[in-house]
Amino acid sequence: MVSLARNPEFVRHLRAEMRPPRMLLSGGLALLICFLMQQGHSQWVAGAYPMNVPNPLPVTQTLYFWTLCVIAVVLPLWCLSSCLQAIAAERQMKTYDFVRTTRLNSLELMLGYVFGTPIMAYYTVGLAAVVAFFAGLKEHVPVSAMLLTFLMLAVLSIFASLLGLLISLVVEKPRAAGLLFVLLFFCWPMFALGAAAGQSPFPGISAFSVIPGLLPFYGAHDPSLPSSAPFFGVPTPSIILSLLLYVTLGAWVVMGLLNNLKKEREEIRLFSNKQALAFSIYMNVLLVGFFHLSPLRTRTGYEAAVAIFLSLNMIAFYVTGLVTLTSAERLKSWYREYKNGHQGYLSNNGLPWPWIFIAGFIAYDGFAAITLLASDARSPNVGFGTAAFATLLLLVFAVRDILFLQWCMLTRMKNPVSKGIGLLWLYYIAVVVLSSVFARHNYAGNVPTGLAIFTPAAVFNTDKIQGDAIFGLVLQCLLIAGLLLLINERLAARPKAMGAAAVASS
Amino acid sequence: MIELQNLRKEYPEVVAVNDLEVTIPQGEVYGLIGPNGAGKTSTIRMACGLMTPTAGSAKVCGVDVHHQPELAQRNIGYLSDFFSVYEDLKVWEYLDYFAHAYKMPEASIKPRIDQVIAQVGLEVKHDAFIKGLSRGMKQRLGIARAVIHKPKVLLLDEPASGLDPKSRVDLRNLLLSLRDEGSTVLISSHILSELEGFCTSIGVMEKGRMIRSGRISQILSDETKETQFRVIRASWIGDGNAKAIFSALPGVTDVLVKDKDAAFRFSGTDDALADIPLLVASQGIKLLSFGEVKQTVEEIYLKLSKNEVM
Repeated sequence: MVSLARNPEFVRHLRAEMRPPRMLLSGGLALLICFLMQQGHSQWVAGAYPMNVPNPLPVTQTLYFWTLCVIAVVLPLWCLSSCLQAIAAERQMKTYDFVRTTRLNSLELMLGYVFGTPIMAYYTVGLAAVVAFFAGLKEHVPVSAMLLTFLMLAVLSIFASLLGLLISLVVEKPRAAGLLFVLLFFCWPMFALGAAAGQSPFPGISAFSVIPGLLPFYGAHDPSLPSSAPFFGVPTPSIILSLLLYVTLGAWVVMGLLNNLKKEREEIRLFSNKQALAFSIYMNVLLVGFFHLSPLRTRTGYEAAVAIFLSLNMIAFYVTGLVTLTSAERLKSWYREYKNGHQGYLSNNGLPWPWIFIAGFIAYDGFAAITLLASDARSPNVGFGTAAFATLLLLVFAVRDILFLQWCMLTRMKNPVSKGIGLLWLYYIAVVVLSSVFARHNYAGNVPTGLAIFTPAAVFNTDKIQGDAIFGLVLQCLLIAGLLLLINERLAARPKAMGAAAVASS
Repeated sequence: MIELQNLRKEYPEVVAVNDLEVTIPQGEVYGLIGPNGAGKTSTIRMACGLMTPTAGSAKVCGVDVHHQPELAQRNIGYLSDFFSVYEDLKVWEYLDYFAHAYKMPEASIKPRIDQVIAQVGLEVKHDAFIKGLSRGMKQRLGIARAVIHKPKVLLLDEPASGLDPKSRVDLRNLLLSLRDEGSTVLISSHILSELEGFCTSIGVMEKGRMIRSGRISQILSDETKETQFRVIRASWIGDGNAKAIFSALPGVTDVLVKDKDAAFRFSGTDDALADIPLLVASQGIKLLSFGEVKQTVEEIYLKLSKNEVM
């Protein structure tokens, strides 16, 4: 593998972006903003502290802090936005095919894009970081704290770049990537709000925000932002957990990229079935590791843990299903081989539903683990039986929805997955609206009948298993059988030998 | 050099390429012809590793393109019909990027860039930004990119689309020089005159199937044998009843006469054909020209695509 400095993709971005006039302009602009901030800050300090300040300013009142806040917002978002466009834009220009026919492997390409595409962001923010560093030195901010902060910023930015690149690889057009950027932009504050999870039964989740982990290094302590959280019962500094979260999640994104960077868009499949299951195991191990009930060793604490656990596993089921969706071409090829006895039902190119069920067994194990860990606090209504029913209910809905998407992929629909997801959203919104309108009786603690039958909402009613939910479960099983029949019918149909201009040119 | 074995590409509703079997030896220039939608682009994209076949294999220089893509790419140069280039780079930077991406030895890169730039006639644009180049120049730069790493095999998908006549001639000359250097070329086109006199072999595709493939001379010879006649064209001076005279000759049928020109079908031996000028001269018709009409690639294609041969 070539080094980053000689990586052709990185060098291309370096050459294209870092022309001297542009460097001068961007660098000058960054330094001008820093200068204006310094002026504003000096005036504010002079106004707030008219006499000479004998002691150093609190860190939140330093120029270093304010410059850092700007950097922390700008750098990850800049990295995310530039990488979101990287591949989608190249694909639209028809230059990406030429990149794919070079001898660069996926890893080299990925490194080139991740560090090369946002090179201007690194340069301008780097200049501002130097200013912030010297301001910090002057304001007696601990050097170790500053270096650690910059390290975490770099980790966050690289993660944002990787995520952006993955989205760019999957979406068809840059416009779609732009829309996703707007969505992620508004989600960004949630990372900071993630700190609130410190009071939840999974306090480690708060490490998604790097702020609680960094505060102790600046000598600041906020009881609402715990600086450490238990991981498998061992108190672990929040900064370590942040690194663990971003590095491991980043590793999954890297795996998705390496699997697909050199593939045609229609052939993209983020993970193999086994990798998808490994992701499910990873998520459950992480949740069990983070589970800690001591501050709220009560029934409600345990029930909240169950609700969070189920919600996150529902996401895991859908992720497993989405990443194991098979392209129509591969599925048809598998079907022929399967009928001839050359491939098994669990083949990598087969239908995704058996793999979601295996993910369900993994989730049930995780559920059982937290139930055991909370043995002295758990609600008498949430036992292993309820856990099994809740997991099964989630699974059935996930399988139904994923099979619906798989069926969409076998139709002539353009962009079948996004359209299928859109239809599913419409379905769920319609069910929620109609259930709200027609729900006349809401017995204490019960989920409205419509929601219990047509959505998996009943799993969150841990007090008892509703009859409606059982009816819903049976109904969904029948729907799954119907979808499997429809899929089989499509798979058995023979394709026609005819002009391929439309498909080939696309 | 290029081996496509049982190559197949299926989409949900159509089979774009249907069990294609083609072997193209080294130094051959193979023209893939067929109407839009015949499966030419899919075939070329599978041959260069951009598209995974549903079944079958594509080998270039003995290396399976889909199992050892990075090794195979060393020998493949690819150019598609409509494409863009990195407008924010300079001409030499663009080629330098691809030379490094093809992992050429560092010492050979600069001389090779200069050589290729000269070959496509862009010397004066060496340090120019690509965004300032004309469409034809960008196409030439695209060709330079495709050959920068001296590939043994060139896969060109409608390379002359959108080019002006001058650029087409330049492209043709460049490809001829590459052919002379021993490169194997697979070129697809539906503008058949582009391929005339340039290809050594052709393959005619329709509805994803290869309906005829082989050396042009062989296909022409086969065609003549199968059709059992040759088309002869003649022009003359004199006042005789040319139609009646030609029609009376042995082996001559379907005589068409317009002014002092005639075309007719002839079924007979070469000796009989050589006697015709003497026979018509004895009837008062002095021939100015007389010869067999050679079929063009276009005519062969039109004939084959009507399923006359199949």
